[in-house]
Amino acid sequence: MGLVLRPEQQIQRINRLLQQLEDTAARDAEVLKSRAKKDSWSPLEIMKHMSVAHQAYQEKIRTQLSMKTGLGALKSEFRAAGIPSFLIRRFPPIEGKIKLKMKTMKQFEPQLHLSEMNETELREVVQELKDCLEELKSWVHTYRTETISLSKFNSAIGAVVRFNIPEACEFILCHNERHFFQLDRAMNKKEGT
Amino acid sequence: MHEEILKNAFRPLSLDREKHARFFQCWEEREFPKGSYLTEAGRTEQFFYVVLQGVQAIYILTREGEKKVIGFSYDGSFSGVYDSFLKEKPSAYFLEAMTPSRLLAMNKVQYDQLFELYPEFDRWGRLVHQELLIGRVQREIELITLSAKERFQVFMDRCPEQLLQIPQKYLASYLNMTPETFSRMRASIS
Repeated sequence: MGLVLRPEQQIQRINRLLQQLEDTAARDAEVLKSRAKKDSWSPLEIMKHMSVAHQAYQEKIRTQLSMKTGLGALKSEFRAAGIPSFLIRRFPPIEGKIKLKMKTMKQFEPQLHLSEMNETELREVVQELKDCLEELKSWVHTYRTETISLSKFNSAIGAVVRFNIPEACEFILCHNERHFFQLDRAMNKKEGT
Repeated sequence: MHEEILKNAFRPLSLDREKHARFFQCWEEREFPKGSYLTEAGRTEQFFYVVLQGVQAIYILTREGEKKVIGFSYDGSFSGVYDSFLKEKPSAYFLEAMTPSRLLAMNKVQYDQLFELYPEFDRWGRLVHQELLIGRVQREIELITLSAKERFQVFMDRCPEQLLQIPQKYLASYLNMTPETFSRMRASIS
């Protein structure tokens, strides 16, 4: 059975992450830059990774949304196909645990020089993620209220997984939830995921 | 600016154009297309509204994503996610325009200033909160004690005509019944 994607729920979940980002950004620069362990990511690196992952879908989704056919009836739900559902279900933290461990591909690794970063550069990383989350929400608003093409495109890992726009947005959102969970742990100096 | 609507909404206060000039100046007119959100769950309510035109529904999502309608606002009534507005905390609810809507809006700073500028607003505040509390208790009693048919009848007796223009599933949710039950009851009276 395919996963049911509800735009309203997605909007509420994105807002929760925006609030968490705002709370996190209020912490001291040193906290945002520091790593719990030598080989784990700092909060800033986790933020940068989420932005990079978002940007991997940006062009595909923007292009497809630019071909929308106009206002339609409000959509209260979409049903995700089998493979995207399988992946999406296992991605976010469930009951405080990350079930599906994944290795980050090289192209999605955050490239930050933490020790050289000044306050302005630090704020740019935070702002970039905020912009990504706002854009994700604007995509959800668009397919909630307008008629869009539901044709599939390759995911960021290639043709093995193909998404339509609502599936891609859910995937990005679940990926973010996974890393906000990691962010929370990093802020509290627990081991990352 | 929409003086009569404001005077009517803020009854029993007797508002005077000159004495309450600041009150009449602080409203901004805002428009919302059908289906758009005035407030999203997870964002803080920025405004206190008086509805000029349209119907808005306030609802919460269950864990499964089902909408549970808590109330409506419509022409001449107050609107907004009041707890979020007062506490300046993220809203647990969505406030959605069910029909194209025009509202007068005032922000939190302006709202707080009313009580400082005009002592009579304390009385208005007491009365409006009293009405809100009595209304919520009454609704809770109806939900607990009345049958679906009785809830439907009570609702239809006091429901403004314009509320009947919105999709039935919202009205059904407000009455804690299925859209099918609501539809059957509505058909039986018409």
